[in-house]
Amino acid sequence: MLKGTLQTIILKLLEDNEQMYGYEITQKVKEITAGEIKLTEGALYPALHKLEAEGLLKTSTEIVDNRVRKYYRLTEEGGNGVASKLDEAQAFIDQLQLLLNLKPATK
Amino acid sequence: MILNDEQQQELQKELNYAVKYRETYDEVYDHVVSAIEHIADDKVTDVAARQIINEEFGGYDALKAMEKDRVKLMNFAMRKKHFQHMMQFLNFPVVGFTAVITVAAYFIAGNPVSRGYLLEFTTASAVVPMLFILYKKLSDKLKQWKFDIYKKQSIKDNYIFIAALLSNSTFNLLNIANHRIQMNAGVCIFIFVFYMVYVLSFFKLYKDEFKMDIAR
Repeated sequence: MLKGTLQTIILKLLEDNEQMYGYEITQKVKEITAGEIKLTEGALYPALHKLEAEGLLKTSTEIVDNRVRKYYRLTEEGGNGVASKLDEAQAFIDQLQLLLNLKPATK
Repeated sequence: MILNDEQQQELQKELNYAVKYRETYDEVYDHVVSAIEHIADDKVTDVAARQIINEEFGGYDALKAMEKDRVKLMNFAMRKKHFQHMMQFLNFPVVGFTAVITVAAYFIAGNPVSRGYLLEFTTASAVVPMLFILYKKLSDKLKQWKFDIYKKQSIKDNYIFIAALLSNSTFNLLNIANHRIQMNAGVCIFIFVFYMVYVLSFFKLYKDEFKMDIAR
């Protein structure tokens, strides 16, 4: 996975799903990409913690089956930042397509 | 595969040795148990748990490194938030409150006798966060002892505790220095206003982080 895209993926997933916990995020990515992209927890959690420290995500905890589950959700600032992150990712993909002489995907 | 009590305890014990803080422990434990619950076959649990920690988290050393980074990030975020709360006292409309207490302190500090009372009041305010945190820590310990629960230390709790201790120790240093320069009125006003802002920001931070309802 390209550097920097993980944060965009996390923000987009949380925009679509309101709140999610770490394991759920890994499973969602696996499901959407039909297993082609597998997030490792060693990369996922540091990215989540960084986004939380930057104030883009906030957390809440719930007790599920006698264990503490930490949910992540977007803050107002995080919600506002999703569109610009997606634009950045799209611009990067467009540039990559140009560089590699790939034809834009047809719908 | 659903873990039985014994298997859960085994995993808890292993993680308990591997990580230091509650935030990491809770998150990794929930992740590993959730992952094991989604494994269809009946692999031996500790093997499955170790496999998840080694393959997904990169092993216990990587877990410790992740925790170390997290402590740095959380402390930075808490410091930033605390500072932002303090800065709010210089922004409209809260700056009105700061101006009022500064003017009040100016008049009180004008008289050497009432200046002493102002410093005593400031001493009490600087001690309040520390007393509050000590009370919370003791009541938590008592609950843990009463219900036989073991809770790991928390990164956020530690930051709050340090902020409370800093309040008291910095005040003492300033106060001692001020006594040496014979209770200068300007220094008294500065100490008083600084501590009002520090203590009120401290409680705002505490309220934000622990969703405490002060009115209750």
